[in-house]
Amino acid sequence: MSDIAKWALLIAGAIALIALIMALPFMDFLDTSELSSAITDVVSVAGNAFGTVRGLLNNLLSPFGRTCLSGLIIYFFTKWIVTAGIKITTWIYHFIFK
Amino acid sequence: MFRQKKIIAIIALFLLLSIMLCIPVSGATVTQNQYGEKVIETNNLSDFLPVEYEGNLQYTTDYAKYFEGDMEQPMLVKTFWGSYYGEYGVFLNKDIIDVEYEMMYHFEMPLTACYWLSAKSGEVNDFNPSYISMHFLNANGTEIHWVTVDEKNASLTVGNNPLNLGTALYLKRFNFDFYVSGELLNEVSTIVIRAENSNKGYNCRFYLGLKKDDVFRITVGDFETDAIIDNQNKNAQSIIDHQTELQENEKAEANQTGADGVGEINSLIPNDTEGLTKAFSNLTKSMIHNNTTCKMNFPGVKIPKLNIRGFEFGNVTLLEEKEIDFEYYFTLIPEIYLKLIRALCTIALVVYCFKEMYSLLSFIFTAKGGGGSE
Repeated sequence: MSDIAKWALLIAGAIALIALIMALPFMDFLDTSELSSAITDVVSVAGNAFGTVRGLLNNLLSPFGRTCLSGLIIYFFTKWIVTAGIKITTWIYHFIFK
Repeated sequence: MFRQKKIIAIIALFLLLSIMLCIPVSGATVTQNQYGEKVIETNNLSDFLPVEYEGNLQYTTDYAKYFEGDMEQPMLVKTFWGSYYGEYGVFLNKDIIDVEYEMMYHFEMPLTACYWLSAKSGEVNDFNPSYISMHFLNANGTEIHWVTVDEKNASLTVGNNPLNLGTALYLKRFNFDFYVSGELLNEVSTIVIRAENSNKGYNCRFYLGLKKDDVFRITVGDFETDAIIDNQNKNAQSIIDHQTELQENEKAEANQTGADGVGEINSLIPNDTEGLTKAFSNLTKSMIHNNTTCKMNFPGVKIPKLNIRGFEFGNVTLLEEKEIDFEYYFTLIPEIYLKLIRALCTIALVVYCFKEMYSLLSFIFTAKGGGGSE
């Protein structure tokens, strides 16, 4: 099987998995707007807390150090997203091909 | 008796035809040149009527003095003015020009018979007299064809003012050719020569003057094939441009309508992600939060109102909601110590960044390529 065909199958599989999750019976009684609202609340509180902690740390750093810290946080965040993406892709790959 | 009446009727008809043929409709004379082309000439200003676009366009006909060397010459000048100064033009009766299908027309105007657009001094730079065009209108006044005079065929000069009005004056001379084709032109009722002034509202006046020997001349005939093709191409291009513009407008309108429709549909679908998106946006913004503001709201503590078997108690506030500004506490630290702490923390952070970079680079340079070998 060529690489392109594998990737196409992988994407199709990912979409099918999402559709499968959405089609599960609990989606009938799960209020997505409430779920979204709950996640929003958590993310808002986390964002505010994170901002406060950042402010606190910024007080301990020079302006150069603050910029450095921003870069470092973005690096960690990107690293986490890339790692999570690879893990998810590997899982889907395993689920479909193995 | 009957025969006499018949003779009288024939004579009357003959006289009527003679009158129709002999009395010119306008001051224009129609002759044929040596090439067999029809030449229409006029030096009669009554052939030029004012165009009333908006407002009340008025005009006067005056004699002005024009000096040719030392000789004083009379000149007839028509002056147009009104409340709307955006566009000026003159009608040329179809009876004068007599537009014929698939013919080449050459317009020749003496300099003094060109458009004069005067403006107040200092405002002349705002006047854009480059756009002169001919519009072919049908009996209803609807435009059915137009010809734009390009800069090659029209010359612009800032000339003397024969009327001595004390204002700067633009003279626009246009001798140009155009090729008439298309069945629509059979409907042509009037032709408007229009000069457009982008500077609306200024006190501009439009003059049309003819000296004693000046002649406005239109030559109609089958000119050289190349010239005809060239002008035909120009004509076709102008039509294509106009159609492209119309298509673009229609497309833009259709897109706008479509976008409105999509917007309406989108607004009908409940969107649960808007708040979530904002929250994540807030979270990512906090990552690049570079100032020292660090306020936090501590929630209040309250005993709620209780009712146990008719006995009510509670509703007591133990601790009010309070905003704590941590930044304030840093201001209490002496400046020298704060500077020292900041310097040490920054150095520690930079060292950590280098360590992280080193581990990343060492991973990149030592990692073996994955995949491809099954």
